[in-house]
Amino acid sequence: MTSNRDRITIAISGVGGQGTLLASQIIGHAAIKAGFSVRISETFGMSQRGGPVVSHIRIARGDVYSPLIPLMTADIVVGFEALEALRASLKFLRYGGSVIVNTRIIYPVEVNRGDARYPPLEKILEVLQSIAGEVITLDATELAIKAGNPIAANIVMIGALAALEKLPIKAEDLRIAVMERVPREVEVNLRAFDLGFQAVRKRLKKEEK
Amino acid sequence: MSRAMILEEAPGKKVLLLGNEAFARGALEANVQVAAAYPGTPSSEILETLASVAEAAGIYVEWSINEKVAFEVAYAAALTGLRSMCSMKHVGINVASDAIMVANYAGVEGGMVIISADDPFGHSSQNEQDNRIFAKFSELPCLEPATPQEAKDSVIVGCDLSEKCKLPVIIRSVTRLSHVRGDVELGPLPKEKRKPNLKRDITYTGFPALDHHKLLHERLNSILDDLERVPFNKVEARGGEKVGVIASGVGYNYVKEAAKLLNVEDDVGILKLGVVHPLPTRLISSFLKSYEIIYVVEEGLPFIEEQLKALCYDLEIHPKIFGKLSGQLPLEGELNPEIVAAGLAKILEIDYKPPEPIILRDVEIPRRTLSLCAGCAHLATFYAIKQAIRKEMKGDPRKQSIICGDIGCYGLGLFHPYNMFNTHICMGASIGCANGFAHTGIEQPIIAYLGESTFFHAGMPPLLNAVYNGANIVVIVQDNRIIAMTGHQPSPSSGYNAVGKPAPIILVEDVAKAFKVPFVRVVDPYNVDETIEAIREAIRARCPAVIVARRLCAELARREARRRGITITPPKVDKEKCTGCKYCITQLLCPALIWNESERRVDIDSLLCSGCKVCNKICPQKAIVGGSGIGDL
Ligand code: SF4
Ligand code: SF4
Repeated sequence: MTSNRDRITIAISGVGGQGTLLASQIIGHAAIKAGFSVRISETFGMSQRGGPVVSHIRIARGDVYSPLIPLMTADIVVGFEALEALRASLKFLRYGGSVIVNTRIIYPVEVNRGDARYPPLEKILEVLQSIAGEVITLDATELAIKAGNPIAANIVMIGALAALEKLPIKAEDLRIAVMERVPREVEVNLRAFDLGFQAVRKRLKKEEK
Repeated sequence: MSRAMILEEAPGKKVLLLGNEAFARGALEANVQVAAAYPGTPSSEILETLASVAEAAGIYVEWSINEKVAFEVAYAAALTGLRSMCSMKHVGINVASDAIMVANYAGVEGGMVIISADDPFGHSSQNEQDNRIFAKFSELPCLEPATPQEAKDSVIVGCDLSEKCKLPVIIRSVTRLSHVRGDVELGPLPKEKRKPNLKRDITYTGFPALDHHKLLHERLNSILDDLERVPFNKVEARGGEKVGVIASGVGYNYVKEAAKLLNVEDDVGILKLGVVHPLPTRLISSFLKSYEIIYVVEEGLPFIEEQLKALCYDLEIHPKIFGKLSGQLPLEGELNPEIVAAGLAKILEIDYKPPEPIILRDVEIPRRTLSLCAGCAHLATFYAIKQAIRKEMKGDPRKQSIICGDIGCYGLGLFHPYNMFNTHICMGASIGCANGFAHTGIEQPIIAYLGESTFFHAGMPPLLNAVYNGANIVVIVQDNRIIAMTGHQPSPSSGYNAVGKPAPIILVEDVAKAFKVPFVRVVDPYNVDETIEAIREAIRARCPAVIVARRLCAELARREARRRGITITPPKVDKEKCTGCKYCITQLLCPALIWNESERRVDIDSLLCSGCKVCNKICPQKAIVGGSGIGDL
């Protein structure tokens, strides 16, 4: 039931060190194998980690041009962290687009120091509900721990994205791309992918009822 | 990136490559046999990728000590008829420029490309310099690819051109090319390697300057026709329209996107320029003549725009030229689809407002500023410096000292909440500036702070200068045994080289002693008291002093701990003892220390904490106890 859109834009947002880059590479790899053109660009800060990261992914039959997503045109925002899901959605999500949120929170240093407050998760989700067509939540970190490694949360999120069935790429092909692009810990990663996939499938089925 | 892909012999196959990986693949397809670089964002992955396949590909690849050396290594290889490449970030060209500005006169035999990865917006740089100007300055040909595919192909085209005119060719990349992934169609890899052949009858020097300058011009002129025909130049005209857009490099992508956003794809002609120096004037002239209005889209300075105006004077035509000079595009920062679309809309008199990000009224979204990693030794050393000055000078360290910063992860020390540095200029300038401050008669201690790789790159001459000229400064070299900021490339203190082979470990203290620095001390920054004491002594010594604070980068240390079976268990905060004074949070600034508002005390983030146990040592109440991790290495 893969939609046959021939042009799709995805923003993956998170915190430096969460593996947004690897996730976008896996998606891009699968897209090229499916015959699409791809552009992926990361925006991040100066040093290695800790800051907000947005990976811009644009997939199309035929040419893709700008490596940066034009404002408010992303079809899907995949948020590896709740606050960053919100930050990216306000800037890039088109009205009615889809959002997948990992509910595991990573506090900014500002909050850690007591200089700022992290908005309540319910509030974040409420705002997202008001601008998105659908908002899907899961605790990807928890599922990754279940799969065998908390680091695999990014793979859980790809599984979740596959289950959404908004990409013009088959879920199975994304699964294969995970294997091909991350040859280490294949079993853990496939389990992570499946857990993310099932979590979202279950959620969507419930909604259909 | 799977390294096997870079070596794949599969012409016609499409793979996903980072722009920088594409440059590397292009070097292999072009038969480049010697490549040298110094790491710097956004250029590092070019050499990193080549290094990972160097052995399999049978080529020589090195991380040089700085960009000037990298250029000279690659240049000499090109003199022997081999093809070579050096790559660097934009400011690296400044370091290499001394050599480039004469090598252009002397020329090359084998094809040589210099890749300059510019950083419009300064995402990870201290300036936005546009190195197309350097191409003009050095009078070398310059290509500007727009996509990862063109990045790969530009190395091949560049080497061919270089061989034809016997000059090094500059390839200008920008952040949105070097760090963009896209589909790239692979070409064939060469079957045979070249043998070096130094033509001994030629002396390679720019001297006599006048003759050689003339030779440079002849060589440049010899390829003017070829530059017109480089495949990255492309006219997409639709005939008889009013507006023609001239775009170079990545700017072209934004123009196409903008035309789509505004729905004017059929209304504008586009000239895409892949050669930016010398400009392909024949191509441009005929395009200029076909339009009343010209919109110039380029990333960086109005480099093409200015030259177009001069060209119009010669052609005696008067199209209206819009771009950066006319205010349609900003003179600073990076382009994006909205900025380019807004400029085009104004010219076409179309109503267009870029969509505005949603601003929330009732929810405050906290910023997430970058920070040094939990457990990073720079944090411990910063703490020690502040304490040492506080104790020695009795007062606010910001007022009681001058601290000259340098380039590396610790550059974050410039910003809130660290506020460590008074200066932050370029590689090695910490010691250079400290030299100067020392001779002004300023009373406060003068401290230069830099990493070991920066020290080897450009810190040695100013250190020697300090000894020779008697500058009373304290140089603190944080030796984390790796070039951390640019993605962990090996430094001379790491014990291995670019291709992972063992290398002699070069120690900063040995260099300092050889330079006859009168006060040299090596400390472990996790040993907080020892470090504070050493800095105090160095301040009191009132002579050129060097303190080497040695600790592996926490990122690598975490990996090393895992390898050795040391588990990371965060220390515990004793609820009874913690008074909630926040001293640990505000003084150490480790991102793993979390303020627990409801209990008004400190928690430790178990996922972030590296187990360095520096916080245990500084808590005045001794409320932080236990733990294991990188502190046990
Ligand atoms: S990468 Fe290494 S040196 Fe850089 S902030 Fe992290 S721990 Fe410190
Ligand atoms: S842990 Fe120690 S330094 Fe930190 S707030 Fe508690 S008492 Fe103060």
